[in-house]
Amino acid sequence: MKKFLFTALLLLTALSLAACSAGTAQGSSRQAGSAESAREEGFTLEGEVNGEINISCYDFTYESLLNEAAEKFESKYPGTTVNVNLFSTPPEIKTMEKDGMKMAIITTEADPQAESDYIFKSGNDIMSGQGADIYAIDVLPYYKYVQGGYLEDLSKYMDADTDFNTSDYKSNILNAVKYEGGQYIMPLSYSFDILTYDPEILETAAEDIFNGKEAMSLAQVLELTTGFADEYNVAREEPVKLINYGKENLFSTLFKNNYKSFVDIENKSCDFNSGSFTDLLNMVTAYADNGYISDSVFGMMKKGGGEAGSGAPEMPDFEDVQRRLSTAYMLGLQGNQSLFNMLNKDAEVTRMFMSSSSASAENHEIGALSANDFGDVEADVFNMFGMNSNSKNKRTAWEFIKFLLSDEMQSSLNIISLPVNNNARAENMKLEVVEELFVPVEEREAKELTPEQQAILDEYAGYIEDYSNQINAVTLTDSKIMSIVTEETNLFFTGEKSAEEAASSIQSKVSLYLNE
Amino acid sequence: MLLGLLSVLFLLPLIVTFTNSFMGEIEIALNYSGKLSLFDLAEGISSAFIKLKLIPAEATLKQYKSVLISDPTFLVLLSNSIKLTVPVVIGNIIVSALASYGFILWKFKYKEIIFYIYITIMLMPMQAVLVPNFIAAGKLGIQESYLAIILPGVFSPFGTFLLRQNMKSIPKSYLESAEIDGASHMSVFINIVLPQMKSGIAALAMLTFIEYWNIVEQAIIFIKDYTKEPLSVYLSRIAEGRISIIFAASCVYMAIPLWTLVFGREDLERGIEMSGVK
Amino acid sequence: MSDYFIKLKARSAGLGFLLPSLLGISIFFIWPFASTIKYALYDKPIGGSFAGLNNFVELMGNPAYRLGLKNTLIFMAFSIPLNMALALSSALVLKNSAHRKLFTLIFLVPMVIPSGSTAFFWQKMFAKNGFLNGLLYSIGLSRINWLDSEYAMAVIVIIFAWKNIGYNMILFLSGLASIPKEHYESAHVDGAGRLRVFLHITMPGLAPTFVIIFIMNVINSFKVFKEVYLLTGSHPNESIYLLQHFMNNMFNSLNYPRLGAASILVAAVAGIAAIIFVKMERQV
Repeated sequence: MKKFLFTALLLLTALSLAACSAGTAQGSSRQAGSAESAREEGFTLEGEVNGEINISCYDFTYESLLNEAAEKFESKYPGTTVNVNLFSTPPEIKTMEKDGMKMAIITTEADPQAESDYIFKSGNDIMSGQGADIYAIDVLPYYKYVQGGYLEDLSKYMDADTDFNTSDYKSNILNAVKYEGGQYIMPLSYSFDILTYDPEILETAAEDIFNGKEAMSLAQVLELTTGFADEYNVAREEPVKLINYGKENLFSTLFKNNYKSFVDIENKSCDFNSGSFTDLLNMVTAYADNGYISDSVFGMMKKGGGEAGSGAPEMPDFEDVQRRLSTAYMLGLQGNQSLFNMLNKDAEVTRMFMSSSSASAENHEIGALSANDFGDVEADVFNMFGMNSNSKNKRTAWEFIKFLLSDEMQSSLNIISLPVNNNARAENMKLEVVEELFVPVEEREAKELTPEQQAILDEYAGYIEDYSNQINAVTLTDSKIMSIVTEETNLFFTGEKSAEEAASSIQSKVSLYLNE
Repeated sequence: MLLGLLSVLFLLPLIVTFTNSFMGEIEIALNYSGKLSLFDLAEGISSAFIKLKLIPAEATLKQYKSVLISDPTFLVLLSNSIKLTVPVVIGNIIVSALASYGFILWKFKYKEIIFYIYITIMLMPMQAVLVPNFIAAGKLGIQESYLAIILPGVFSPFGTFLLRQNMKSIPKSYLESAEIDGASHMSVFINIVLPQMKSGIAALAMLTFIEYWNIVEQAIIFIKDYTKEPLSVYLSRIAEGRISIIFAASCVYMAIPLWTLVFGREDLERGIEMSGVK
Repeated sequence: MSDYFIKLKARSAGLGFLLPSLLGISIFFIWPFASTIKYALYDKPIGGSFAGLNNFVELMGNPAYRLGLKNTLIFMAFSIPLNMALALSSALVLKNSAHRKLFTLIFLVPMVIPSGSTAFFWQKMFAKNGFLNGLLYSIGLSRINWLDSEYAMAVIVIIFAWKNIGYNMILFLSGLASIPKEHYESAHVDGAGRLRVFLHITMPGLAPTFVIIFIMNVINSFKVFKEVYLLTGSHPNESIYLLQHFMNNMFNSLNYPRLGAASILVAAVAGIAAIIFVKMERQV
């Protein structure tokens, strides 16, 4: 009797185990089967656009974009529900007031713990087959997900969907984020950087430095300008600095330009010990010591003043900020939003965007397109989305992604910088010319362009498209590796570690990471 | 004397947390940021050290006020912790006590093997069993509720393991004499075995309470609504900007298990006294 | 015949007591364990193909895994004996002390403090410009990079000891409490001295407790990961990169097969060790 009871129990457990594993195995083989057959037979879009989809993202800045898209999508396709799930909390906005002028500083306390909790949770959801249908690739480890097969290759949807034309979009951007030939993520917009110079300071020297090249790297330009800077500053009381970067930021930018020589993601190897890394560190230090670059902005805490109480990153003094904004610098690295201003300095147009590096950079002229050390022109991409390969409603999910790329959504004010959608981009440029870029859609007057404005628009569009066409790379740096490098190099810059120590520390940590 | 020294060391973090909870925000930031000011540089001090301040320059109850009164979230999170922990403790004690007695009663050749299985299961690291646990909870339909965390806790083999070890010291004679008297197993269990296990049960209660009071990873996975998360998760994230509140919140957080420990320890005490260990 | 039924009743009763536990364990522990085994035998968690023992072989050759394994073993070799010795001696001293109640409470405090606060505290102690270094500096010694050098191992041993001695003490005290009075009384009657009492009554009486303490220490030495992680992040200095770091990172990169293989190895080894221990206990 007891033996029977026991055997029964054992059998029961064994059966349930077998059933469970058989179930999952069947499920998995079914999926594998269907994926293969899809590739063989030619993938077709099946199913209707309805039902519920879930979108998961961490960064709160995506909120307005996604909510707008969700609303519009739901009204366009009745019967669908789009749930947007955000994980992080918005930052605090602190304001400082002085002499009637207000300055608002948004402190994003990057909460690394919350970020890693999000990655932890998303990983769990995905592995248990329950993840969201669409994931925003903001903090998630993109490569690892693709390598594990968790993200769907969107190119088969792009091909199969007759409603989707690749020619409507800036395809070199879309191609630049491909991994091993597969389109696993879809970016919504992009931006690129331009190297600029102050014509009042450099005058004719600019020709020698830029020498008619279309694209140069920051490192090259800096090197070429030091000679000039030495001469220029010889008799000056207040030497003019090369560029408005502190050591840490300059290093970070130069490092990213040279990323591939240090890290080889596909082969899972890295090389920080070869000497070029320490050379880079020393070069940046030399620049700082020779006074070529500015002081780090958030380095010091002022005793007794400022908003020191909360322990958040110290805010600089008001006068300090004003002073920085008004200093002239020889060179600048600016985003494409400054392009319009630089082309139209004399024209009667309103400046929509302030320069990103300093107010004085408003005077700058275009030097060259910014390239990395390998000669590739890189773009920054924004708002990337990927589809979960185990989504239960792929048809709707794909439709939503397509919707994010549509003319309608891409002209939204929530899109950052240049939309990948060609029509939206052209429209935005036109709006910028007639100064209606930030006017809500309802209030826009469909103005006709004056001949003068048309000329401006043509020149502007010419530059943007020409530069955009040269973009052939998007180096998605791994955020884990970047944080290791930043942490160690900061120790070098504060003098706590020597360059060799920092390099070998980075080498051991990054190779550990790549090996996992 | 050695004990005295050790104790101070042990208590240091607690003391710091406690006294610092009375400090104002600014004072804490000044002491703990360890950053240099321009004045320091001017004087040639090349690096500042963090000072552990034990006595606040200005004691203030502001932090406690924020925690207990102005921001009700803390109390909600605290009650969540209680709602999570107490069922686990009670459930686990019941299941484990029954099971440990069962191990003694059950005469079965292979029962030791089952016991070994119990032990091996305990050794699986959390990350490995998390996803399957998640799936299992899904199949049972309890994914969104606290049950997903409570039930695995109730059935955790540690309790059985501990109580069984504890029971090994109970002389068989006690059990057998009761059996001969013809008492039913349940009454033997309740009247004879349980009182003997008091110290073990007290120990189990304390350890289980502490473990689930501090639970973090499972809570992150299973609880989607952040107003339902236990306080332990909130306190595992220390953003520099919220340090001051953290201290006060931690003190409130710690008060409850400390309170439980006081009770549990009494039972342990009695157990020791009863056993006549000199 | 009725004799058989009586015995049967006894045995079934035992099973009856055991049943809730067995059921719960099958659902919440055995099933996940089996799943993990399954994951470890495939090359992808979803839609993968059978890989046999490939994952295990690959794992053994993985440098990150080997590093984690080595460090974890070193850590346990230092911590476990240290903790057990300290806890036992404290428990023995305490049972005679007048301040027993107070001290027991003190030793339990570390377990109660939330992980965020402890991480904060230890960070301020051991950081490059932390409190300890400040002390060293003021007496003229050079600073030590506690968390990012070979000293890091010492740091986590200390932190683990701090956190866990209370745990072990409770177990020891409970174990001491379950030794029946009569044993001590009869020894007393026989005129045995304190050392003999200790060796022949207390230690054997504590044998079951030793087993459980050892096993729990092994388990808890895995849990120390939480504090270490809060202090030094997911990729710390080489000397304290533990198996848990490896597994946590595997989890976050969704590398389930590798995670499963590593977990099974861990459970298997530890399980065997535990079983040996239990067998040894039998003979005492």
